[in-house]
Amino acid sequence: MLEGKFDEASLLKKIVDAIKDSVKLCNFNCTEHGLTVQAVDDSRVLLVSLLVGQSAFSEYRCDRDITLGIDLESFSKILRCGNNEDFLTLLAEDKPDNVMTIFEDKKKERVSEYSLKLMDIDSEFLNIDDMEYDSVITMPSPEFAKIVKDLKNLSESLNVVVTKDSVKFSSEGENGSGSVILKSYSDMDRPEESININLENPVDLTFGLKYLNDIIKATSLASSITIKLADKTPALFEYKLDAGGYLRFYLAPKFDEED
Amino acid sequence: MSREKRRFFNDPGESIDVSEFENSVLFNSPNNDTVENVIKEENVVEPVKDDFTTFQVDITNVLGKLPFETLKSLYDRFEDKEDKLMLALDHHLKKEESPKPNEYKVIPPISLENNPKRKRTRGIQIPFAYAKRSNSSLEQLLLKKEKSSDEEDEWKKYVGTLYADAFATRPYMKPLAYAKEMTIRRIKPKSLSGKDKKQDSAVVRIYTRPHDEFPEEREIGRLKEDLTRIFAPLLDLKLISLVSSVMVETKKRLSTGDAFYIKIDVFLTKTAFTAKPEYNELDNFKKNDVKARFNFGAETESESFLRLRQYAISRLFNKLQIKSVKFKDNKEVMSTQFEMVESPNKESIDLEVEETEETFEENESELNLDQLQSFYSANQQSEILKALPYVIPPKENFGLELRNYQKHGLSWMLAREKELDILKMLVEDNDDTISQESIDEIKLMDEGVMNPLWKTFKWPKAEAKDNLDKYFYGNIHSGELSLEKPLIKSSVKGGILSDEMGLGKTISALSLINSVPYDTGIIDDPSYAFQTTLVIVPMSLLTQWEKEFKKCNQNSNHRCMVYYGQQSFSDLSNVLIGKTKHIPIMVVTTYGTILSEYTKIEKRRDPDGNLPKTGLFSVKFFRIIIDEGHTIRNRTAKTSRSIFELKASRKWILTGTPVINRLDDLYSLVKYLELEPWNNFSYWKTFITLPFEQKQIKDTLDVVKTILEPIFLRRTKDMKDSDGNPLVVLPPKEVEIEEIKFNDRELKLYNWFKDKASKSFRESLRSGEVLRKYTQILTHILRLRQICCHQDLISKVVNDMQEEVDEEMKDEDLEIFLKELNEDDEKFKDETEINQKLYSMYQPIYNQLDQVECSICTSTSIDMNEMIVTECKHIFCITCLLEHIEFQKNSNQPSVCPNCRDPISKYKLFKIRNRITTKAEYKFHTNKDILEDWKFQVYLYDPTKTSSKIQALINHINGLRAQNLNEPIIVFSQFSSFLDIIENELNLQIGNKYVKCLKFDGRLKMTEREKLLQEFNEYKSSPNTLTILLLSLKAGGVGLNLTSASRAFMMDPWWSPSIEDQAIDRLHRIGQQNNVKVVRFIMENSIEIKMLKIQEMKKSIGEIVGVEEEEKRRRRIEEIQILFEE
Repeated sequence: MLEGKFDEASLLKKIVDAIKDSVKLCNFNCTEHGLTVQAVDDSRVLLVSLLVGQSAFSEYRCDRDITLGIDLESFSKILRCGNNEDFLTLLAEDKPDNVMTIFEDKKKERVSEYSLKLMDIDSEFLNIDDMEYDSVITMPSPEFAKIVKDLKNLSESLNVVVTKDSVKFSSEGENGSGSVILKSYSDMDRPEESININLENPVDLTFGLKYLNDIIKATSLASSITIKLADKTPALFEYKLDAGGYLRFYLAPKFDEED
Repeated sequence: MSREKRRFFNDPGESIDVSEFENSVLFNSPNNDTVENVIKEENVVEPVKDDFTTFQVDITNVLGKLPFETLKSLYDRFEDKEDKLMLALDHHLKKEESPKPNEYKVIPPISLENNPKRKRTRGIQIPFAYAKRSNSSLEQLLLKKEKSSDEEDEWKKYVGTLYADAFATRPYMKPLAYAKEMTIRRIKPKSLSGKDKKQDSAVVRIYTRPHDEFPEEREIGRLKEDLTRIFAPLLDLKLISLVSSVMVETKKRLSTGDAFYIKIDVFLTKTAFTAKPEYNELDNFKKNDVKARFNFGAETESESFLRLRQYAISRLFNKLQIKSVKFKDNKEVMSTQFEMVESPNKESIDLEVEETEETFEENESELNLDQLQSFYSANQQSEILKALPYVIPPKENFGLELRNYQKHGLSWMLAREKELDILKMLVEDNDDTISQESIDEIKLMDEGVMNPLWKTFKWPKAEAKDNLDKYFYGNIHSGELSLEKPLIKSSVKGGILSDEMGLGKTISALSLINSVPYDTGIIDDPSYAFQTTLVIVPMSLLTQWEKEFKKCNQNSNHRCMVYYGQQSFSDLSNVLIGKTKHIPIMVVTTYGTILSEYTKIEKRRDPDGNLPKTGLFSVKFFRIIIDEGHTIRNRTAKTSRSIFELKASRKWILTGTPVINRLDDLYSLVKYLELEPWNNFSYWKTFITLPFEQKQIKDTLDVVKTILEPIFLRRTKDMKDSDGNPLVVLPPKEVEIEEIKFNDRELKLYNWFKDKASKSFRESLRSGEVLRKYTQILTHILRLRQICCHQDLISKVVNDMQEEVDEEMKDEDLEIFLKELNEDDEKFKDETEINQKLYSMYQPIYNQLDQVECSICTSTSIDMNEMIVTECKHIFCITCLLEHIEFQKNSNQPSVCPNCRDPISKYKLFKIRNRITTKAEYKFHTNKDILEDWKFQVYLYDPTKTSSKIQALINHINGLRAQNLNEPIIVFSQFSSFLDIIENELNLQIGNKYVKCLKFDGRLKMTEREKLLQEFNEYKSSPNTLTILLLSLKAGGVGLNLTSASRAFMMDPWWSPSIEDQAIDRLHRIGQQNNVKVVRFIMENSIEIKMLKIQEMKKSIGEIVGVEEEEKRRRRIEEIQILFEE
């Protein structure tokens, strides 16, 4: 029996919108600690890892582990039916064939319920080890989104070079090239505006902008993004949820043909 | 209906099907079988009332078949109730439990509510075993013991039951069974996006109790919005705990949105009676946030919190129909209904006396001044007041005889000052006794007063016998609750003596001073003038107080000091404290003196904010009495602030009109008296000003009433004493309005000005600038009013105007107009002609002078001053002739001399005065030599010097003279220049031999005022000379005692009727022996008539109603419009 209530429907809405472009189908694994999702996109370049902790719910109950195989496209349509401020409750039986979504208006006495058929989705669960990264960048998430959007116009790939105290995002295309250079910056009044660059070893990596463009859909979930990079390993893009939990994207870098 | 059945109800897990249900009943209790048959029989044989049948069907639907007797008895019991079905169900099921021995004994009916609640309050998970409502009594007992330690923390009291609609927020697979218990909880959203923070989500959710199938609670629904509003804040604050169960079984499984009914028992928790954090916050806010005091629009967070709580509590009580209990004669007034109905149904707490509310309902929309007045007096007749004896002040000190109500008032004042020993002593002096009981009662007087903001409530199930447990108290304004009676301990020694004007407040105050002249307590403060009472009065009353003091003082050691003007001392302590023999027991000073002393030292405060010790501020007085205390009604005025700074251990206010304009006028008085907690302005504002502005007039007045009750005494002239006699018998007063016609010239002048004024008004009205041009319009109005009195009043204005360049144009208009006006009349052409005529008069006049006879009134020997000489050299009384001319003019006849029929004109008359005309002068003009100087002087009479009003006044005065009136006459006007003219004219027309004019206006110095009043009061009746006091309305409106006169004339109306009434009350007050007759002169068809209209309007509306600024403006414009409408 799963019962999870969100104070505001907007949170789940944002989460689903953030990942539905990367993966179409995925399993929502519900345990007593919260809700997790792990899914890989069709090209197996991008891995999405989501944790919505128990604290993100105003009420959460899950007696037994439940797996909900959800078609995100349909789910997102359902979520769009609720207002952002509504209470949202997810309800599922122990061996569910559908999941119920209930919206409750906070002011008016309106309750709406939607039921979504579940699917059986095969998926293997990858264990991702915590690992050492060569450099860690924390920056405002809108800032990163802008860089990605801007440079996407030029080329299909983004080169990230981290040296000493600066990071350089650049892309080179047929029509021209561009780059954005950021240096560490700390804003005392608004810490979320700070840019923090932590460097162990210099890094020079290239990513497909197509995937990055999917990643930045999560921008509205958190005010800052943490990017962890290491040579020849998938980079980690992490959005921390204020309410508790995270949304992580693991993106494999492009390798130069020469390599 | 045994345990099985109960279990059945308690366990929704079991499937419920009506047929099955019937079976189970049949199997388990054979009794029912027969009963069922009985019911069937009954139905067939005798179709009972429809109502009953419906009831029966309904109840059978829910409970299954019941024994007919049970059904019948239930029906009988609840027949009249609207929701009889629910009540019956409830009652029936409760009853079922109680008679069962053993198992259920452990859970008495109350515990049905109590037990579950214990856990629910905090949403603690209920132990599984317990939740099952185990059969074993032992287990129950054990559990009870376990819980008993918690019990103390979770003290709670039942206050009522609600039946509520709820609706499912999710599908629930099973039907809900009757009495299935529910938990009500609230989840506070943890994070809300910024904009929503304020509105807060208000959802109160309902959960199933854990049971076999679902070991954990499950949400199933939520309450409807109305209850949510009430419960949400209370649950958040843990002020209440709720126990609920399903009220009506649902037929099938619930889907989202389905409604179901639950019963909610409401309990107040201990927290409700102890925690008041938000209140402290409010206090802090008062202390710290000085600015916020002036910005009441902004609501702080704590305030909104408080408001929510207040709202919730009051709504909850409303819902539960908990009403405050009122006490009458120490007995609780309550409906008997309460006793009869045992089950906690809605009516059970209906204990109210409702008349009070109804009486006020009518007033709710509007409250005029009169109503406020009656509201004062309404609270007066408290028991305690009646218990007070009549006392007289010690004879060795006080030499006047007091009236009965004054004696009563004195004992009230003594009680207020807590001088009970003296009170007792004085009672005995009065050959009366006072029982110890009444003394005790008086002692309790203000200790027993409950805080007016609090109301008493009664626990619906009052098991306890003693009062402590029977009641609880709630503050409907803040939502606070308390188990102890919230008493106001007023430490204030003093109060407000608000007897109506003329009831002798001064004497009452003096009797108090003479009864308790010194502080007999321990004096440890070196700057404490413990022997002195400071009396603060308006300047015009200064000497009156001194005089009254001397009049009543019998003790040669007591003296009174006037502290005014030059006499101020730098340090009063030398005079008032120490070994000096003659310490004045009374110091009289004026508001002005205090203000000027205060202004001098105000800026020189020491770092602690204390004023430097000089003058009146150097000592702490034994007692301060402020006369006409409404002077300090504006709390921000400097005068008021200076008064607040004075120190004394006892403070009194004398005022006939504690509220002049606004309810807030009372605040200053309360502040001066240091009446906690109302002297805190934000407190006052929160509980009085704001609610009043929000039109909660009845409630607010209730509060004000209770605040004032202990410290306020008001008697009015028409009140009756205990024997039913009026307090004061005053001779009747007659106010007559005399309408006077304009004479031609005045009419022309008036119309000219009126046209101008209304033109200007209409222009500004059209351009919407009425208020901006307010002063200009007022000037126009003023001129019109002045013309009504005397044209010379404006000629002064005209002269002033000439100096103003801006108004040059208008001036020219006016001058031209005036010129034309003057040319209209027949006049002497020039100076030469005048002189020629004038000096030709001497000889003929001289010849007649011995035996002048007015051929109009046929009186002989007219006084020289009254003579008037026509062109044809006939002599008449001036008034007679003027009347004659006026008469002829009105009847459209040419003005002719009554004697010789020669044409005459007002402008061609001569007067004679008692002066010498020298030979030389006469010769210069006439070329005639005479032997000696003429003993009289002839001069041209100028009719423009007088006015219709003055003429009317003179007529009256002449009439009174004819009646040989031997008392003074009073003439009121608001224009002191008009008084000058009147004085002049009276002297001229009646002659200063026969009238003696005294003029009292703002220009008079203190000493002159005193002298003048003395002269007036010592008026000796002399048959020939009439004393006339010309009194300026504003300077003489207050305080003066003019009872030696009984005739008054009001020359012009004032905007506010109360000012005029006050003026009239100078005559019509205690001491007046004769009928008072007042004539008000009003010019016909003039602005003055319209002013009367406005006065009427003001009387009925009163300015007390909390009017918005906008409303005030609208009203002002309305007033002006009335003035200008045709």
